[in-house]
Amino acid sequence: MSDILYTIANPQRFTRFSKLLLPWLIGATILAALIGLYGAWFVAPPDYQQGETIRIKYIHVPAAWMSMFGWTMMSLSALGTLVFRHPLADVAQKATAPIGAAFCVICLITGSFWGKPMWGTWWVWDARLTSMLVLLLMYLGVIALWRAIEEPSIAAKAVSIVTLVGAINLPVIKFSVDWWNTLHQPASVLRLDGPTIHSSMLWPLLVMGLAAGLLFATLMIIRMQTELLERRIRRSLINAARA
Amino acid sequence: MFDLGPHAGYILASYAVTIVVLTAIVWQSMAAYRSAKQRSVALSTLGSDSRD
Repeated sequence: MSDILYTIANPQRFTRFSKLLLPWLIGATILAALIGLYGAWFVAPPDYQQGETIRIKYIHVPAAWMSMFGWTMMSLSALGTLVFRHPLADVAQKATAPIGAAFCVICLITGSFWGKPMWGTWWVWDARLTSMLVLLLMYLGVIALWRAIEEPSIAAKAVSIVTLVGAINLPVIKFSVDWWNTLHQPASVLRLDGPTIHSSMLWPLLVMGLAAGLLFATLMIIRMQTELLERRIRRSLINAARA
Repeated sequence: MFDLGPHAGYILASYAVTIVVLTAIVWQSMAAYRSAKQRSVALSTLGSDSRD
């Protein structure tokens, strides 16, 4: 495993490797999304309390997972930047932020669309919802910071510190429903004692989660390739200006 | 199409928003890649021209 990581650590090798991987990732994303949507709409039954509104959960929950996964990836990349000085770490970090923000927006909006008919309100300032909103604001802050600092290596260090500090919010989001009395229901899938939902609802949710994860990986690779190209262009322009 | 009950609007709106946001991030990612690729190719062509 470490050999593979070292092999693709080189940006040129990463570009070659990702070009081979990308068509398979795109195909797997589409296939997983089709199977997940089929399960979510035609196999999973309506919930005994929520009725058909449960269909929102098949996009809301994977979006929440990806929002948190995105910041986890950024935190690992931040360590790669600050501690290991990995050549692709800050590229991965910059590529991840907009994708994580997009999933966070989906999570918050679909949560509101579920909350209105189920709770009778679009929004409450409870711990889970508020910490998720904080995550979106942190994503937007990091994106703004990348844009504000022109030199990528300086921006990477600043963003890495902000990202690692912001990682404190991840356990707050996850355990907010256990630590505080919230309107949001407790976890029903990622639990130490196993999922509490019926298998007919669980597998479509997991497949939708897989589809979201594959889409995340696909977009991340495309955005990393873009960032590598942008840096090559920047270097070329600087060299040309100096010559 | 099956009956989505009294909350059909909320369910369909959720999926619509998801499609819009995901389409936007996919489109933006692809457009940024294409733009960077074109500029990179143009720059390398310019570089090889100036060396000739």
